[in-house]
Amino acid sequence: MEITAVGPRLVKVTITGRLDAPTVDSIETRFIASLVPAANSAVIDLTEVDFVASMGIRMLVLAANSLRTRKASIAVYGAQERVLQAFDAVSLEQILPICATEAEALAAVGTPAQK
Amino acid sequence: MRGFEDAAASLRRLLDEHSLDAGVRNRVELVFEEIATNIIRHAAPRGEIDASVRLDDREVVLTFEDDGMPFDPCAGSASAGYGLTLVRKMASRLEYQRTTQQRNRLRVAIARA
Repeated sequence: MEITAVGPRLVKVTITGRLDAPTVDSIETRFIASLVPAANSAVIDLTEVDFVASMGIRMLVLAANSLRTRKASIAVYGAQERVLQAFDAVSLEQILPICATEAEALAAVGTPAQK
Repeated sequence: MRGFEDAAASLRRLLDEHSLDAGVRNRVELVFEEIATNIIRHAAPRGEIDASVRLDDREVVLTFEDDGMPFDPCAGSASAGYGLTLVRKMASRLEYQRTTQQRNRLRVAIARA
C-alpha cells in the first residue's frame, strides 16, 4: 500500500494484490491512521487489486463513515470486474462513490482533477 | 492465519487446473474466504477446520466442518454482515447441519452457469 499526498488534506492510496483478511490485518491500522485523525479525504486506486473480501469492504466503510463525521470523504476507482462483483453484492455504492477513473474519484471527493 | 493462507493458496492452485469462468472463480474464492475466516475468528478460533471442494459440470461445492459453537448461516435470524451477505449472494445453495458428533457441517454450492 502506497500513500501519497496530492493536495491539502487530500491523499491518494494505492493498494495492490488481494484485499483479503490477512492483507487487511496488515494494512488497516496504517490505512485508517493516514486518513481519519487528520480528516484527510482520499481517492483509493484499486486498479491493481484482483480480489476483495468482506474485511476489505469493511475497512473502506469504516474509513468512509469516520471521515463523514469529520467533513471529509473517500472514493475508490479503477476496480476490476471481480472486485465490482463483491461491491455490487453489498451495495457499497450506497456508502461511498465507486468511480471508473481517478478524475471521477477526485471530483467525487470535491477536488477537480488538475489539467 | 497461516493455516488459512495455505488453504486459500491450495484452493487457488486447484481452481487453476479447471477452466472456470472468472466470475464463478471469484465467487468460489469469496465463499471460501468468508466462511473460513468466520469460523477462525468466531466459531472455532482454536480448533481445526476440515474443508473440501468438489467440482462437476454444474457446480462447485465447498464443504466445511468444525467443532466450534453452532452457527447456522442459513437461518434468517443470523445477523448478516458483509461476509454473510456475500456468501448468500454468491451461493446457489447453502446447507447447514449440526452433526451427531456436535460438529458444524456447512455445504455451499456455487453454480457454474
